[in-house]
Amino acid sequence: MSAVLREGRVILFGRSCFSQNVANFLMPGSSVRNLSTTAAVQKVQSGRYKVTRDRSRPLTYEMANQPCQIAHRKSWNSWNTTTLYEGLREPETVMDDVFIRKFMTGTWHNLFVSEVIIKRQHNMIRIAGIVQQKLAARKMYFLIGYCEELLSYWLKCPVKLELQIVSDKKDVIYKYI
Amino acid sequence: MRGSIHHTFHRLLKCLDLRSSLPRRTLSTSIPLSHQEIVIPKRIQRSPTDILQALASTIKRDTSGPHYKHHDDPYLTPASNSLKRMYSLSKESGRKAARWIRDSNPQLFLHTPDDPHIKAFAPTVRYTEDDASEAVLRELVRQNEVSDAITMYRICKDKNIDLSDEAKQELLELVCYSNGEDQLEEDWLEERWHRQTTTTIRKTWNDDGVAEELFQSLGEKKSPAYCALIRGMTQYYQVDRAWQLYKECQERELPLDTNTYNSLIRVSSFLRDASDLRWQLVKELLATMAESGVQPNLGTLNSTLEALTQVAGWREARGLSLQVLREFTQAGIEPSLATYYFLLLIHCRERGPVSHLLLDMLDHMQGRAFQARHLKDTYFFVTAMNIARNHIQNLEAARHVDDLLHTGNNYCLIGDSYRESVYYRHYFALMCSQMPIDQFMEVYSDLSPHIYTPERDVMEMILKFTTLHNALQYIPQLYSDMVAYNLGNQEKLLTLVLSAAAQHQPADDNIELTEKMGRVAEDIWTRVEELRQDKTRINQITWTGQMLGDVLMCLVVSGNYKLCQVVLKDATLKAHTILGYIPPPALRVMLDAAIQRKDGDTGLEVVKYALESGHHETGELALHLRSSLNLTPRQKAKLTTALGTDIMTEATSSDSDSEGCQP
Repeated sequence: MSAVLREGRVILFGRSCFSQNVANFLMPGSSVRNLSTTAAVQKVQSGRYKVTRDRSRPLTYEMANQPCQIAHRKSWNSWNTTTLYEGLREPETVMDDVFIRKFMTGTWHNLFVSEVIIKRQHNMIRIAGIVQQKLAARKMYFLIGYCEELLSYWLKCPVKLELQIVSDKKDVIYKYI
Repeated sequence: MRGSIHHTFHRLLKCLDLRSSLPRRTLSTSIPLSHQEIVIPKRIQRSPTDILQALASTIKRDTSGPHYKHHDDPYLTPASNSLKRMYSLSKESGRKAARWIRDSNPQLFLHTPDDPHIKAFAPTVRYTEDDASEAVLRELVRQNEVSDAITMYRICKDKNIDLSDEAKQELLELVCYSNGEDQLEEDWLEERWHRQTTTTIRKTWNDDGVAEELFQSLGEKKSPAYCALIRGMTQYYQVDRAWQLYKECQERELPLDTNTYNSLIRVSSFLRDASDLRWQLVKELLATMAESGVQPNLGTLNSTLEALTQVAGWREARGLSLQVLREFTQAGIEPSLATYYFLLLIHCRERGPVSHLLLDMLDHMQGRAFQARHLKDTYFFVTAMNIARNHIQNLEAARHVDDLLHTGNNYCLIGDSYRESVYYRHYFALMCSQMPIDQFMEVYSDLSPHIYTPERDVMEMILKFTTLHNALQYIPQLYSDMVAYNLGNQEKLLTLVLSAAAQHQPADDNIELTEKMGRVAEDIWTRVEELRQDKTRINQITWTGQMLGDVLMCLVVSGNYKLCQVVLKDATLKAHTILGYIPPPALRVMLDAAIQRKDGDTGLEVVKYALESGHHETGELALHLRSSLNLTPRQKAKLTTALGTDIMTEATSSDSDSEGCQP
């Protein structure tokens, strides 16, 4: 019951149609009594992948582990101290991280086969990830230099890339579901 | 028994006693401490990077991985010299592309989340004609933007904006230093590192350029203006005009500063012809300095020695150089690496007598960390190594030079990539010729490929010495390194590898090596055949008979008989593309292999090849084949048509002889 209550309170703030129903149901003495007969699907979906019939969906190790496994079996994708007590620049950092991820996956087009990991230490940002070996090494060096420099100009701090190259996309596949 | 128990018990007690006494002891030591006064050391002023530098000094260059400027991933690790250069320059060109994007779209990069503001990340400030003012000009000069500053100066002139003499002087100094040309920016480290530094000694000064125009436009020509112009002119070897200006200064009794005198001393050799006259001039300049009370500095010492290197062939140059050094050290001037470099140039000349000055020098310099204090400091290490190898051929000296290079931050003074590779080329060559081969190979595998990738000549030398010392076990490793260093298409090296591999004598205890040699020969064969397919290549590899013979020997020894047949067939069919012929010993080995496998056809091929090559040993080979193998009538007929009937009769007679002996 407490779980439902908590769910109800959360939804109350959400002001959705569904929440109205629940609110009316829960509040005593309300004038309209709509009774929803559909059971609430309290399904947690983020970070989970649907199993295919022929088990052909490739997952990386990162994808294969659910978000609840963070800090147990896998780690965070962004490392910074903004969320600590008296941490600074939390919203800015989140937006910067979104920008970095978009920039990286766009610049290294179709090359990243892992998540973009962003680590911040002092004034330095280190961007790690696994990249496919589709480009000549010298072109990769060009992109490395380009990304480091342009992101530095944008974020106004030194940026370093820490990439690993895999020869085949399949190298990072952990399992098929 | 009882005694021993007693003994152990006693010892236990003693132990306990010791333990119980511990706290008492610490107590007793703490009492006198309390009487002592605590002396707080004085604060040492540290720069923001001191701790980082102290940390960095605890680690050495890791020889097992690539340089930190390269990405730490196997796919991105360069092995050959050309790849090292290409990768680091590619990265820098990426950085340049980013810089270009920033500077062509400055409006996108104007946000300032950084506090305090960091100028290096902000787009370059652009000035328009309307901004022209003295302040802007001075700012441009401060940023070393030579061409922009000159343009700004011209705009100011057109707009009749009055410029103060100070601003003009600052611009004059910049223009004189850079000869009115933009310098390579400090940010492009790799370009600087890989740039070919050609020290051309010829006049490159921009005559009647901006510098002289500025000089003329100055209201009152004071000493600093003269100094700047003379220094600029001497730096770019406009010697006569510089001398003219110097004379002008003397007439007007304007004092000159030390560095201007230094620059004049440096180029004094261009003003006189004979060696003694040149030295005379240097002495005159030094005397003038002393008269006008100008204190000499390190630059004076180095310029004097540099002037002496121009007359190094002169008999007195060597004695004078030491005298100069002594006098300057007495005057309290600490020599820099450039000083030693000039001394080496004077004393250890190619055609001069052998001088062991380097050894004394190294004893004196041992364990000292140097800092860049003079422009030519970066020439010392490569010259010292060159002298250790070519002049005195002393491995011990070379080791000392290398130790010195790895002391403190001395490695920063190696210069650029070219000087670094020349340094290691000399070091490797010397070690290779003077060290036991096993020891050398240890150093080799330690330093290459990440510190130094051997070039073709060095590789050739290593291969030759490995063969000479009969250390054939290193050949497979050297070959695979060669391929990795992009030297796998060098005919000379392949020939050496093959001849070394063919020298290998198979035995029961080196089966692994035999197999490896076979694989080397096979790899070379396929590699060269592939290269020969590529008709666009300029330097085509031509098979020589010797090379093919060596390939055959290795393949036979390693038991790769099938490929042997292919090689032999190829050699027969494409004989016109092969230089020379497969030598008889290799044919003999091949024939033996064929006989062992009872392969008459191949045996016949060998004999035919020998016949076509015109080897004297053909008959011998044919006899050997005939006597050791039961040939089919068809094969016998072929042999007869090839060699005539007499060979067969000889063979039959020997056959009948042997048959006669048998019963």
